[in-house]
Amino acid sequence: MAKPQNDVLQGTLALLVLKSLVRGPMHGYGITLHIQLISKDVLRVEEGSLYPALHRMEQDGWISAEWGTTENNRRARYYQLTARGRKQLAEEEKNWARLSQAVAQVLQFV
Amino acid sequence: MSLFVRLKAMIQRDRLDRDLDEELRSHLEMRAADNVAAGMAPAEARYAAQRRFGNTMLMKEDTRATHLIGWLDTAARDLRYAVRTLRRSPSFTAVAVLTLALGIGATTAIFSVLDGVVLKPLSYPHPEQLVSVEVTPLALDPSLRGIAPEDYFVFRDQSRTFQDIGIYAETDTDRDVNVTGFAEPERVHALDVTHGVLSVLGISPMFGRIFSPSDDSPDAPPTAILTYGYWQRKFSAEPSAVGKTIIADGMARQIIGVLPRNFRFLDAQDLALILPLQLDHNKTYLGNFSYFGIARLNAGTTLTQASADVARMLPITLDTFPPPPGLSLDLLKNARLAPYLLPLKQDVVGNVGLLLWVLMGGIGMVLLIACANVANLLLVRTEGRQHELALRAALGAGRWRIAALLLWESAVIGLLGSIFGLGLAWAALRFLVALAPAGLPRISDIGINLPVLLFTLAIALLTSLLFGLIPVLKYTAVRAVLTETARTLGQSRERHRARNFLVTAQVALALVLLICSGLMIRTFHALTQVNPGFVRPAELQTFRISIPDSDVPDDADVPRIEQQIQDKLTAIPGVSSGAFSSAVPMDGDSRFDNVFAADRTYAQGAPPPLRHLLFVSPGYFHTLGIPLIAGRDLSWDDTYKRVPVALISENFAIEYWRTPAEALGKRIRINTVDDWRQIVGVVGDVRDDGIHKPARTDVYWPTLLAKFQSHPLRAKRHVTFEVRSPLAGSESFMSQIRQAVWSVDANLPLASVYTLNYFYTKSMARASFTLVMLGIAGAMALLLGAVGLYGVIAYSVSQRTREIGVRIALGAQRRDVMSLVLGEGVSVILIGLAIGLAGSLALTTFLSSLLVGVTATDPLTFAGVAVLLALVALAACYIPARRAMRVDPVVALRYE
Repeated sequence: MAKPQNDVLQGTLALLVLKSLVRGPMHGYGITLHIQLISKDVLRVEEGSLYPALHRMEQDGWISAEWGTTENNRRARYYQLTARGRKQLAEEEKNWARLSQAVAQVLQFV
Repeated sequence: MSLFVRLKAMIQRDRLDRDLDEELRSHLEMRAADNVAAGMAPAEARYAAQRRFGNTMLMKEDTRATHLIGWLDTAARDLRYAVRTLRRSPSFTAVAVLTLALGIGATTAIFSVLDGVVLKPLSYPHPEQLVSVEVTPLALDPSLRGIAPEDYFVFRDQSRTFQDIGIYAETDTDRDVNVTGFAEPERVHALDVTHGVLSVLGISPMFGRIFSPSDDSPDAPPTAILTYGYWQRKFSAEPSAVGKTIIADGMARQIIGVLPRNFRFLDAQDLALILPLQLDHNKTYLGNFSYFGIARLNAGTTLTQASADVARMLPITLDTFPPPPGLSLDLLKNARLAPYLLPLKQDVVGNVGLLLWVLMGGIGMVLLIACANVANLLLVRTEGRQHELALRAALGAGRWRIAALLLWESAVIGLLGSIFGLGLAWAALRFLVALAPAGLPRISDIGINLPVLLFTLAIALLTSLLFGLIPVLKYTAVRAVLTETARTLGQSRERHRARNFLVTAQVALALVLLICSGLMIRTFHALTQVNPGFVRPAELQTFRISIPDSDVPDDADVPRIEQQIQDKLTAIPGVSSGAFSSAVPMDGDSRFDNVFAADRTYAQGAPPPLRHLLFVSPGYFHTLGIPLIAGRDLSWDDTYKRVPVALISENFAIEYWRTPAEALGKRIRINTVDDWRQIVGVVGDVRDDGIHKPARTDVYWPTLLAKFQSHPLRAKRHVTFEVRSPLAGSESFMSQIRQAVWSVDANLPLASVYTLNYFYTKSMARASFTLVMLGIAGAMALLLGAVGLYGVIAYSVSQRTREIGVRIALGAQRRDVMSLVLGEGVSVILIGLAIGLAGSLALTTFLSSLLVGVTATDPLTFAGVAVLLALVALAACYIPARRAMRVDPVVALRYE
């Protein structure tokens, strides 16, 4: 199956989810919307991998989940950052910065 | 799994599934609502949301997999599915499970023997510190070993590497004692030990105490310790036995302790009494190497350090103690005594380890062949399921999911096979232990226990993985396509390759095993052709008696009692002759000493060669059927008048005097204070050491000897009687014999009641055990290999029915079809045979120490076995080939 070009890069999904949750608890659909919106439609989260990722992060204790209601009175599962999640986020942000800086340096080298 | 855990898991799983479903629904609803807000029609909006999401089933499965419970659930579902699939094809399952059960059962059985005998440590505390300590006369005969009292005294007092050391007297029949004072006289196994022996082994008594140094002193009151079994039997398990008195060989001994139930002394069987070995430091002469030693090393000391320590102490013994009268100190010095230390386990197990490893290797091959068969079955089955697998893949099952599914099936087959295999192993073990060569050490340590169970489990998993992976690798690597039609046009060679490879391996392995069994058959045949030196051993009844000092105090009277018994025995109807001797051939009781000849000069201090010594009554040679080659037999006059005479074996006569006749009249003796003895006869050689070893040189003496081995007068009190009668071995005959013996002395118990044939077959026991075991392995390999070959060819024929039909319709001769099918088989067989022959050449060297009269690369065996296997394999191909030949083109074409 050919995948859309703007799919979220392998391995950055966790970083993006964690970062999205910094602003407060969010449900899965909200996270996809948020990432799509903020990245101006450049990044698109594939939903088939979002939920396994969310559950894995929950198992790892980076995020916690509980049922809540949306503004439209729909039941949804809300995910929230834990202390361990924040630490993990800092770590991943650092890694990402290092990586993108390295890529940029390579690209600038003529 | 308990009901509670299962319930909890079920509740958790249900909650997980409900949560996931709801989360998914709310996601899709929110997306659909947004789509509607963007102007889509409701139905279209829902569809778009669904499409955007993708495969919900897959996502649910992936999510579930992140939870342990979800993972377990998937596994359980796969397992249930695997069981269901297997139940749907019971004949496939039965054949696969049975094949595997045979392989695993045989492997487990042999492994439990290997584990019990070779691998398991001895059951004493810190067994790694235990060593056997002996000395060997390098210059005389490095195969002889023993420890003498002087060594014990010096090692005990001056060692730097031993925590403690003890020595004990041989545990053979000579150490039996007559126990009297109960209703019937009884002869029981006893063990003479210095006080160190039990404490070195770390034994503590169940009641009373074990020996202390004071029990060992020559003037200490006589004591005894009972083993658990004897205490149960004779003292009805009364703790008050301690303190009572027992009469052993006419001597009253105080019972000071009872040993615990699990006490075992090395490999001694049926021990009843442990007696103190009271050695007198002041009366010790050098050179009495008739004891065995065990020691416990200091923690961290190596065997090499201990050997060096013993080497340091050996010269000290020669300086500390006097040589026996008539022997010079130089003689002992020139014998070049050297330390002979072994880890105690190695001493107990001996060289049987090699045999067991060989068998383990052989059975391992059978297991491999069985695995190959199961793998072949699975391959065929998986091929038939390609359509199903393709459908699964199309529905989104990943490669791993399909692999897991196939592997679960293999695992179920593997586990079922192991369970049945364990049952088989349990049955086989009883057979094995019954069949094992007499004297297979540590036989009581053999059983199905935790290490064996773990081994079986490991084997089961390993084999399932082995045969399960082959179809997995083959059928998940290439994504099957749904569009593939069910039409089977001729098969490509590619599809056959895996199966042909497996069958080739089977043929090769079977050949190796069959060649090994062929070599053992030849060995066994060679052994039966060897002349042991005596005739018709099954007709010779033997038993031991012992005439204690308390009954007949004077040695001069002992032969009279023995002759009376011999006369009574020969008077039994049907008995053709009878005799007695200090030992019988092959009973393992061998005595050696240096023998000087009067017409030879020996360099000062150079010891003459050791000869095997036997003390015999007149008529011994006639009774055993040992031919008298020159001169005459002993007479009773020689015995009673103490005439200094002897007989020697032919090989000794030839070695010293070229011909037997030349040896007559020559004089020999053991040491310089003995009288010279004239050789009056020469008799045939006897393979006393066992049928597989060359005959030693023997010297035969009368049973009453004056001035012999430095003793003024000595009679043989422990003797074996030999009675030749066609009734030998029957219980009625033995009761006649008992009556005859008891009519002379009613207090004499009979021990070691065997026919000579018992010792004769025992000396071949190892060869016959190996033969039977390798034979079973070879037969299994042949059968499984033939079945595997048949299966592959038959399957290939069934797949090619249409192609063959077309060929026949187009005018192919039936003979051509036949050779087409056979050709496929023949190439597999030939390659298999070639590999098997090469493998055998490399592997049979491991057998060479077990072979007699045949080399490890015997061309006759190799060729014969290869032809046999080729014929069986061809027959396995012929049956399906004939079926192919008879294919009816019309029927074949209608198949499609």
